[in-house]
Amino acid sequence: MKNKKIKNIFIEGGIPPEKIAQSISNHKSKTGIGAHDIFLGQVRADKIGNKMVGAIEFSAQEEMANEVCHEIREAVFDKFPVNCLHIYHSLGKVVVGEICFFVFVSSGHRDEVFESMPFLVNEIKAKVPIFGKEIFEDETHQWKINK
Amino acid sequence: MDLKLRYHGRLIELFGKPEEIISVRSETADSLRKELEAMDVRFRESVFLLAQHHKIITRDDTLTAGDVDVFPPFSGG
Repeated sequence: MKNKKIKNIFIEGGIPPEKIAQSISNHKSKTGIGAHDIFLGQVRADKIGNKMVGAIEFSAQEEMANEVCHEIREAVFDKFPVNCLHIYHSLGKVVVGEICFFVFVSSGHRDEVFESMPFLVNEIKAKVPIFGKEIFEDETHQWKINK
Repeated sequence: MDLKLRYHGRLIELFGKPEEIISVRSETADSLRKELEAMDVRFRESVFLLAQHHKIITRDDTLTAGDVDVFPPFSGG
């Protein structure tokens, strides 16, 4: 369903698993839905040289990020027959093993959610002004580069 | 015209400040890019995107006085 209101996608710190569970539960009353697909991005303990990533600190141009996500959301609704979708991204420090990116797509049937999810995730990664700083365990850092 | 460049991500570290006001002759995105690259080697050596009014601006997109976001490559997700 299209929604003209621009939503705030940002959550301070790691996204709690309880929020993901609550999001699933919130769809109980939407009985036209027969399939959900969930993508979760987790902070990985990359080894770079002899250093280990301990956390990622995210910053963003928040207003633009929310507007771009709104446009991506509208594009998904135009392109795929999905019932609803939700996007959340962390701001600030997220330690290794925590969730920093949560995308939730629902539709009547599995094909629509399976097809829309890669488009949605790739669009967000390519077009939304969010910046990750990888903080090593010794408190030095480098800027994250998306593959 | 006067522009407030608002740096993001690694560019804040590179320029040592989150924003600065500069006066430019450029009237389009592409000419601003060239003017910035001529002004400072750090622009020439960086990959950066420009945005105004929350939209990426490129080529002949017209500049207006005010804020310009200067982004390094995005790395969310």
